[in-house]
This record gives sequence, structure tokens and C-alpha cells, in this order.
Amino acid sequence: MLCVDCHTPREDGTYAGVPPLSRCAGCHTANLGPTAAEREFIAQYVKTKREPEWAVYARQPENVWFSHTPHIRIAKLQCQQCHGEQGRSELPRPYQEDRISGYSRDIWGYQAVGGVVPGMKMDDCIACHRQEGLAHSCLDCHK
Amino acid sequence: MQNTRRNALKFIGGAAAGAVLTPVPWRLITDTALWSENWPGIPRPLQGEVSTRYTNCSVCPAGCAVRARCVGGQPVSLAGVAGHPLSRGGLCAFGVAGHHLPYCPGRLTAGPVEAAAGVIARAAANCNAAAAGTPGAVCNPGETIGVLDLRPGRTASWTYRRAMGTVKGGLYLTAGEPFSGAAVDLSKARTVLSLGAPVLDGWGTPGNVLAARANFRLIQAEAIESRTASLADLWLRIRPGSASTLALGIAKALKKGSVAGAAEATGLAEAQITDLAAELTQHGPALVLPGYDCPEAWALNGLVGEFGVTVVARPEAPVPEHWNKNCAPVTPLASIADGSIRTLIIDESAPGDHIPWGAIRRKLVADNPVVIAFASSPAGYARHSLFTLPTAVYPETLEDIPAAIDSPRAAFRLAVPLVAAPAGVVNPPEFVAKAAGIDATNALRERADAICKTGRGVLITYTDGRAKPVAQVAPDDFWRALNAGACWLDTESRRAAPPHADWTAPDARPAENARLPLVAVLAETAPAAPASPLMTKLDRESNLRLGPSRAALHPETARSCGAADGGRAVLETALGKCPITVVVDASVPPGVVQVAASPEVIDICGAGARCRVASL
Amino acid sequence: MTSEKKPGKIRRYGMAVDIDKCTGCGACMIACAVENNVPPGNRGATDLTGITWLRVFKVDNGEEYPRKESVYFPMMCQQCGVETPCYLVCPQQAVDVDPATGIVGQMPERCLGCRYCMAACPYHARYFNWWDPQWPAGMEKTLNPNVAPRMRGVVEKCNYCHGRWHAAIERAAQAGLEDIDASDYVPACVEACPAGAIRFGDLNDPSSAPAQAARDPQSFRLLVSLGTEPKVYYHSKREWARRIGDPSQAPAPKETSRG
Repeated sequence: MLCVDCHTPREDGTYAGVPPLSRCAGCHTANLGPTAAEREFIAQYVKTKREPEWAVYARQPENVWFSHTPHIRIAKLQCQQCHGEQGRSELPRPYQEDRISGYSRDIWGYQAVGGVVPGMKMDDCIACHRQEGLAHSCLDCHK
Repeated sequence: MQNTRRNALKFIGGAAAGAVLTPVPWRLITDTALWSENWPGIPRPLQGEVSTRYTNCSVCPAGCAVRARCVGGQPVSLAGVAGHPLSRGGLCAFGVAGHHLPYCPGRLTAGPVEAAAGVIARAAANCNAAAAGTPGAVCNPGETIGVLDLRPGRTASWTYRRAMGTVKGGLYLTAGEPFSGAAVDLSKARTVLSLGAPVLDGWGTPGNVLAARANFRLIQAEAIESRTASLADLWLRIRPGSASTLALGIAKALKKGSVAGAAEATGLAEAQITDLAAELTQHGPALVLPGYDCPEAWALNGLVGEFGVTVVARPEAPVPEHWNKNCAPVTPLASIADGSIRTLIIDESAPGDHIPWGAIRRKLVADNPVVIAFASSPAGYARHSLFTLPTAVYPETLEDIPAAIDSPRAAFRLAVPLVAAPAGVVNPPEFVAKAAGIDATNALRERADAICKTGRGVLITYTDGRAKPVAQVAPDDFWRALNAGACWLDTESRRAAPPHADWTAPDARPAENARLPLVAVLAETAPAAPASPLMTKLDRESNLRLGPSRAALHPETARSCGAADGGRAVLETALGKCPITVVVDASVPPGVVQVAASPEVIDICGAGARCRVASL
Repeated sequence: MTSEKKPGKIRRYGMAVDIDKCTGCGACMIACAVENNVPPGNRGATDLTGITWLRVFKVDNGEEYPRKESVYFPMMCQQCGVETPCYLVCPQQAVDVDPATGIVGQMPERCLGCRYCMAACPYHARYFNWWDPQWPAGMEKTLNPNVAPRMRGVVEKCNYCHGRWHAAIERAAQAGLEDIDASDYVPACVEACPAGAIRFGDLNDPSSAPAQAARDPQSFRLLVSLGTEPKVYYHSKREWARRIGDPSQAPAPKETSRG
């Protein structure tokens, strides 16, 4: 599967991020495989029409403005370059959260051990922007 | 102090203890929260798809076109529609925050709906029975049921007229100033004399007034330094309450009579009045706009010969033929006999100017009249009504907005629902229609179809900015366009006959009164409450407007009342009292109380009301 | 942070305000508050403790009736171009001057609330959050998602509607363009003014309204003698109004608490 099979832009061009349950249910109305996780998902979410409360690795604080459009359409970045290789393991990486701020460790805490995941801290964004000669001012990314 | 270790430790200990008492520890803790921007109770804006929807603002009778930016369907900001022929892209401060109105604190959402429906139905039946001479009718002869419509000309107004038409003697009432049938064409005016009308501060359609501003010389005759007075080309500071005397004086000057009486009453020089009269006739088409306290001054436009040029007949969009049959006539409230209404229904859901309660109360029967008010705020007639039924507010409503006073051509545009109304609110015209036994659920569609059928006028749509002749539009497309915020505009305006005015009446003078030494002047009309809480930016977080329940006094006047700036006081007139907060302002004339015009204040003040201010 | 700059268009955004046209209606103030999620005044808020990124004042010529004349004067951050006082004094580097746009950006997330910048600003254009932002129940739905709300204890000010700047970048990217369309970026106050008294544009573009105002002898700026090079040009045909920007010529205040 490709990233864009589920994570697609909205009509106005912005990225919707996490797809609604209807996208998952489009395929998973019945069991497609033998896993218990899928059975659980269908029973608890698809059948009861309950939106899952996704734990988003990449959710940035309220004061950050990030738009996918310039990064995908102009800079032609691949999803994996910032979000890491997803879907290559049996289980997803555990979602870890900073206790005081409530933010995902990807954006607030230390770099994940092993360096498999590109970080999503402000420093990582700035490092790439600097590399491309796109050094910006604060208000370009902060709301 | 010696440099000992003990002293040093004492100092450090004291500093540490002291530091705990300062805000520093809390600041450090909240700093951590701050840098994560995730503090408890953080308001989270909606996320979703951004879309644009068009509607028309129904907060005031101007009906400016609105472009709403919506996130996931919820409007988050409103702006005017650039290039619109009626509103010229303008939207006032109240319209810009209109999307807050559904969430204003204190908004009414529940009321005795069943009980009120029963009351109206029974009252209608009783009136019919009484008129038919049926024995045992509860309604006494001469008593009837009436609907008071504060914004006439809407489709809802026609529904009320049809509903009252089914009841013998049923009344459809409006505020009906002596000449409410006027509309104004500002683009033709070269001299505008305003007798206290807030031309630059909420009169007509703001965008239209400002677009025409460069074309005319504005003369403001007013007692207080209102926003319009301070921006006018000429401000004539007349005595409070003497605007109608000034109108009379001008009429006399035009007929070469004596203006001595008018000069004395207004405080102007005789030469100023005669010059004013000359200017009105010699410098291009003139326009005279009356203020709230001199509505008869419309007739001056007839004397300066501008009926048909700057003043035209108030236009109304066409209605289906069958509505004209069996509908109650438009009756001004003042023209009916006192004590003749037993059941009064007041539609305050789309308000215009607030009528003082006293003027309404005298038309009701003395013993236990039944007043039912449709309102979304407890601050208006809900204070006086027996039943208050909650209504939807802009932008929850689907209703039409008649052409504003400064539109010489008829217009039909809809305020379109952008958000859902809460459960429990009623739709006033449908409610009254059902109680009277007629079906008005499709009234708006019927009227739109009738307009489309006449083939007159143009349809202005926004997505493509075009004005299409209606003759080329099918009824279904017409209705769909209207629901997307489009506007129908007629192609012609109608001449109006000037009203008759009694120009020989003696000069009126505000009477002196020892107990009530001050004169109250109403300032700052604002759309009826509730207003967006952001309005505090204009009246509390800055000094731009007075704000509700505030009154400005000259320093000497304040001293004589014992009131200090920001102090609480009571404003008392012959009709009652109401609490106010005093603001000291040297630009207010001495002896005048410049009070913000809220319903409470309007109820107790009339034109040039004498009053006193007692500090608390 | 802004050391290596990819060569792009260098702009200096400014405003041209015609105070002869302003009627003091306040639509700009409300539009600013709506766009930037400025909370309604707390119950105890006054004109000294409230937050009005854009505030309209009434200024008169000091005379009495009938020679009294008044103008309404919108005041927002003047976006000082040289020796920006707030930028120079901030101990947290919470103020950022963008060399690409000339906009002085306030970063509430870095601010620790010392209010040194408020003291340094000669135009009183900075406001402190004395209280946590509070909207009535349900009204949070009407907040603008392009601007983050600020908590108590930080300073905020006009940033020329950075939320709209972001929206313009987004729209340009959707069209495949790297640079924004100049007409796409319009601050809320400019869009809201029914009289068209406030206009916005790039001072480096000679055809823009502010650039034209800069060349107009009837324009003036506030407190030019301080050397802050503000980028807001006010315009009036009346000579007494043009002297408003010069403190040595201000008339004595009268006994009034208003304006």
C-alpha cells in the first residue's frame, strides 16, 4: 500500500492527516486477514461506527503552522523523508508522550534510540531548511 | 552586616523563602507548559476543510452582503462582498462578529412554546367569535389581537398580515412614523442636512453611505458631538430636542417667513437658518434626513423639491397575487385607539428601532393584556411580555431582508442558515400562521417564484460577480442562487408623493422642569442585544464607543450630580428609572446626558426627555 | 536563524492609513480580534488592560465648537524598520524581524512576560495577557485555526495577520508557485474597513499604496524623531492632523477620560 491510499488531501488542497473511519471501513468491512488485531478493530470500531482515537506521532503543538502543500508540490519530498518508513514491521513503534506537555516524543523528547525515525522537532525542520538555503523567520512556521 | 557564613546562609535562606512567595515558581512551571503551548483549558480551534459561503447579514435592516470563511462548515470569519451594488463590500463592526451571535451568553433558548401557541389560537378564535356576535365570547367588543412587526417589509411581515387577515379585526402593526414610506437615493444628493440621523454611524447601508460620501456636503444638526457631527462638513450644535423646531424654521425660511422663533429655540443665529434654507435649494439636489425625534421632517424634502430625486417611494419586492387577498392592512401603532388590544404578539426576532414600551402599553387593554414576544435576548420586550418565545439568530435563520432605507430600488435577498439553530427555538411567522390556521411554510419560495415570474430586475451572484436579467433565469435556478446568498435588484424606483405637513404649527420648546433639570439625548444606536462579546474592544477596552448602560456627562454636570467617572448612578425620567455608569467627557454640552440607546433607556426617554442623574 | 537566505523577493510590508476617511466605526478592530483569536475583555478589563492589537483613537485639534475638528486614528504596530525597540530589549529573543518581509513578529511561545518590550515600544502597540483567554461556551468553534491562542502572562501584538500570510503561501503552493500572489495577502483590518481607509502593500513596490503614501507630502508618520522608521504612513489633507505625529505640537489634554 502507498501512503496516499489513505492519507489524501482535501478538496481545498490541504492535507487532512488522519483519515476518517469511513476510509478504513472501505476495505475492512469484513476480515481481510487472520490477525486478531483486525478482528478487534472491526468489532470495536467499524461495527460500532466509533472513530478511533489515533495517537499521532507527528502532531505538532497548536502554535506550529505546517503545510504539506509546499513540501510535497514544490519541494517534492517523499512521505518517508519526514515520517519514516511506515508499514515495514509487524507492530507499530510504541507511541510515547511527554508527561508535562502531552506531546509525542517525536516532536518534544529525545531522538528515538536507533535513529530509525527522522525527528520532527523544530531543530530537524530548521536543519533541512538550512541545507536547502531556505532559512526562514519565526513567523513563517509559527501561528 | 558582617560577612559571616551565618549571615550568608540567612540571606540565602531568606531569598529562597522570598522567592517562593513571588510569582517566579509559578512562572517557571507555566513556562514549561507555555513552551509546549498545552496549558489546561487551552481553546482549540476547529480543524477541517476551508470553504466560502455567501449570505446576507440580517443583524440590522441594511442587509449587507457577507462572505463567510467556514472551517468544516462552521463560519470563523465574515467579510463584505467587494463590488456589491448595495453594500459596496462594507460590513460594520457588528456584522464582522455576527458569527458569534449564536453563542452569546444570556441568549434565550427555551420558552413556553405550547402554552403560547394555545393562547394565540384561543385569542384569534375569541376575536372572531366576538366580531360575529357569538354569545359568551371572552373578547370584549373593541378588543382585538394584533402583531407588532419591528421590521416590516419581510416575507414574514406578509405572513403576519395574512394571519391577521383570518381574524376579524386582527391588526398588523408597525412603528409607522408619519412618513415611513420613504427611501433615499444618496448618489443623487449634493447637500445632505441630517437632523440628528447618524448618517456616518450606522444609518442606512454603511458601505453605500461611505461610497457616496465624497459626492455630498454633509450638514449635521445635533445637540451632541456624535461621530457623524464630528466628521460632518458642518456641525450645527442645536439645543437638545429642538430638531423639529429647526425643521419648522427652515420651512418658514423657504416661505420667506420669520425664523426668530426657531433661532431662539435652537440656539442658532437667524442668519444660519436662512443660509441653511438657501443652501438646500441652491446647491444641487438636497436631502433632509430626520433624526429619531423629528420624523415629520421628511416633509421638508417636499419643500425643497426633491421628491422623486433624492427621496423616492420605499420599494418592496413583488409578492404572489393571492397574498393580497384577505390580508390585514399595514396599520401604524399610533393610529389605533388606546386600550384596544387584548393580545399582542411582538416579533423582535428581526428588530429595527426599539419602540418605547410606553407607546405600546397604552394601546393594550388596562387589565391583564397578554403580550407574547418572539426574541432571542432577555433585554428587549422580553422584560414586559407574559410569554417570551426564543427564536433563532443570525446566522442560523433563513429569512429575507427588505431593501434598506438608502436603496431606491427594491431588493430581495436571503439570510441563509450557516449553522444549525438549537432545538427549542421557534420560527415566529410560521408559529403565528399555524396558530391562525394558515400554511406559510413555503412563503419565501412562493415569493421568490413570484419575483422571478415578473421578469423584472437582475440577479446578482457572487461566485462569478455577474448581474443576470431575471427574465433569463428559471425559477429553480433563481431560488438556488438566492440560497447561495445572491441578491435580486429591481431596475426602477418609484416616485413618491410628498406627505402633508403642518408648517404653521407654533414653535415647540422643551419644557423646563425643576425636578428633572437635565436633558437626555440618545446616542449610539446599536443592533439589539445580544452583541458579540468582542464588542468590549470598542467600549471597554478602548474609548471608541460609550457602550450599553453608559452615559456621558460634562465635568460640571457630573460634579453637580455628585457622580465621578466610572461611578454608578441612576437615570430618572418622568417615565421611570434605569441604572447607568457615568463617563466624564468635556465634549458633552453642560446640562445634557448623552446616554447610549439601549432598550431600557429608550423605554424611559422620549425625544428630548428631561431627566436627572443621581449618583449611587 | 536567518543567516543563509535563498535569494527571493525582499519585501517591506507597510500600511497607508487615510485618517480623513476613517469614521471610527471600529470594524477593523473587531475584524482584527476575530482573525487573531483575541479573547473578549475579561470582566475587569479597561482600556489600559484590554487587548486591542489595532485601536482607533479620536483626536481633535484642541479647539472648541465651532472650530473643533476631529479625526479618528487607527493605531497598530508600526513595524519599526530601524533600531526596532522591542526587538532590541527582549531578553528571550521572542521578537523576530523577518528580513524578507520587514514584519516584526512577536513569538508568544518564547515570551516570559517581563513586559520590557511594552515599556520600550514608543507607540504603546503591545498588549499583555493579564488573564487566560476565555470565550463563552460554544464560541470556541468560531476561532480561526490559522492563529494560535495565547495563554496569560505573554505579550502579543499585531503581526500583519500572519495567519493570512500562511494561507497565501498555502494557496501559492497549491498553484505550484514558490512566491505568493501580492493581492492574496491582505490583513483583516484592511479587508474590513468599509471606508477603505487602511491600505496595505509592499513599500519596495513603487506602485503600492504605502509606497505612494510615502512619497506624498501630505503623509506623515508617528514619532519620526525617534528614528524607528515606522512603516505605517498616515495621510490627511488637514495640517493640524498632520502634526499629530509630532509630540512637541500636541494640544494639552482636556478634562476627559475618553479618547
